[in-house]
Amino acid sequence: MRKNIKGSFRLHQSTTTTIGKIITYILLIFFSSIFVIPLLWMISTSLKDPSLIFVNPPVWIPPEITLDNFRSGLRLMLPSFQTLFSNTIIVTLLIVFGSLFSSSIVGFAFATFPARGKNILFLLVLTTLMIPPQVTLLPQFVFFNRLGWRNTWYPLFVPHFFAMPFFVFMFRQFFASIPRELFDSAEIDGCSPFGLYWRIALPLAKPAFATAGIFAFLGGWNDLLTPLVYLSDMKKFTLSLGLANFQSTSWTYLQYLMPMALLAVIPIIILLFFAQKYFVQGVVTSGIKG
Amino acid sequence: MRISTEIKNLISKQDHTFKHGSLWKKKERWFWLFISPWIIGFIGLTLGPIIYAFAMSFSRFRFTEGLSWVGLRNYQILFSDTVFLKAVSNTIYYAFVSVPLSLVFSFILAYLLNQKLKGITFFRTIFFLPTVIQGVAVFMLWGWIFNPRFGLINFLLRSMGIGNPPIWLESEIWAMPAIIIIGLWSTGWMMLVYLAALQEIPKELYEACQIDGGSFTQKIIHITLPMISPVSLFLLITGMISSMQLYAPAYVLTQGGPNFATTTIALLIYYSAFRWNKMGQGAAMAVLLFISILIFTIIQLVLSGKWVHYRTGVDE
Repeated sequence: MRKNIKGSFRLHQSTTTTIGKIITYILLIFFSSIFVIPLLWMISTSLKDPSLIFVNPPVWIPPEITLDNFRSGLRLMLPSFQTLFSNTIIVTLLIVFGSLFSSSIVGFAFATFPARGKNILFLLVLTTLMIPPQVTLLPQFVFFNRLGWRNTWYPLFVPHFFAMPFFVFMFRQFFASIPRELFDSAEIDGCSPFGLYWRIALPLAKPAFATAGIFAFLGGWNDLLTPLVYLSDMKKFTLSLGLANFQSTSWTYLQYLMPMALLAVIPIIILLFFAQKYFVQGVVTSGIKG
Repeated sequence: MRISTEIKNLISKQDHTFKHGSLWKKKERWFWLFISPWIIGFIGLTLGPIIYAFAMSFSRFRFTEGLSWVGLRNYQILFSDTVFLKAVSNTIYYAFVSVPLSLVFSFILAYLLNQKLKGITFFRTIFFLPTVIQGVAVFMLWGWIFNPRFGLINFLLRSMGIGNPPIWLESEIWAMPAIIIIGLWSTGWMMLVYLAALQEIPKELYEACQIDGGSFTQKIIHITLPMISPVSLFLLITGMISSMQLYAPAYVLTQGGPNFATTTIALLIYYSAFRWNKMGQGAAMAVLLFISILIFTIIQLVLSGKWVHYRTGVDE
């Protein structure tokens, strides 16, 4: 009797799931196309002759693939794409290095050392997450201007050397999950507090570093506001500022915009495919965006 | 979600590790040394600037002379300025339309991704892709897609029989909806947070509902939605906070136009302070933005303990 009920239940379930599966797949493909078609459109526009760009209905696959738009776009762009690219790489790497080093050491202290008022301080760290950058933007501008940092890269990366609250939170959660005995026994063996961080905690924290590193990289790569406010010399522009500038000055050359946008996006897409695990982990463990 | 629960823990928790003794004191010294980068940054780059921003908002600022007190003048000018009032209503419009839409959209996406099917990680990558590549390049792409004459969207609308589709970014009415659509396209963060929440729902609940003869919609209404409501609230508030700071697509695509239709508060702060040389008014707007975000944050902390459905309530 019991078996029968179970059997019929299972049968019922499997038929609904086949229909359900088909519907789910249809919806998955429908939504995927919403996400993918604009990107395919960007690629298609980049690779076709300008005469085929301004036509109705649109041509999806051009009869002839041409790289002319890339060449002309690269020639028209001021400063050169290579300059923008290497500027962005330098600034972004400094941001990644600075924020990871400072945030991990602060997160380590919050996770392992005892101190009076530690919880209140950590509460303060979390509160600063909610502060909109626009509030500190103007006073920081006045301050950095007085230091003579206008039109330099310092305002872009130096603040990241003073621990980013979101990463402090991430590292603190990670280091708190390391068994305390590990630190205790290292201490008995004569390990200094800095050694605890450098030799015990750091080697264990590779996943946390990968996740925070990707977030810091994306933040640096996509930042528009800080370069916009501080940089005036085109030779120092970053990619996002250079692209925004290109968009507003050459909107009549629509055919050159897409190949340039595509070039800017390719490194990020490659990064996503190689490190997707860490992206997902970062969002899931913290449940908030950076 | 995790952060707000952490905040609650911190408020309720006492320092159990509190001890006296020389070893403990030595460790405490190391604590302060290790967190000193954050303390310097907090005082120099956050707390100091916030205080200075308040001072700036009550002053006239010149780079050569510094601050000179003008009382409430900056605020008075703002509230009689039609551009500022328009920016406020634009910002509210964006936040109140885009955030609920993103919640619904990302929930549907997450729900689909939560099915145990072959190739689901592939779809997850596709859904998440636009979020990762957000930035100026993506806004350029959308500028082209919204092109009134040769863009993809209007081609689609024309082929559906709409002879006179909107001119999107060039239209006062349609520019903001276009920017909302761009935001919806990169809603992957919310989707991933929802996905994580969906995976935490115990399977027994669905099985129990199934045995009781519950339908698909009943499962969604009585199990899924209540179980993820804390996450929804969290996403609602953080989504509101971040959408109140929107400036980038408007700056890149429309420069706040046409006729200030896409000028948001964050964009107006930039224009006032750095283009129109009105630092005082820029600071006043920044202070107002700060206060509204603070209110939203407090609402989140208060509400997160009330009308949301926590797991303990379901287990009983």
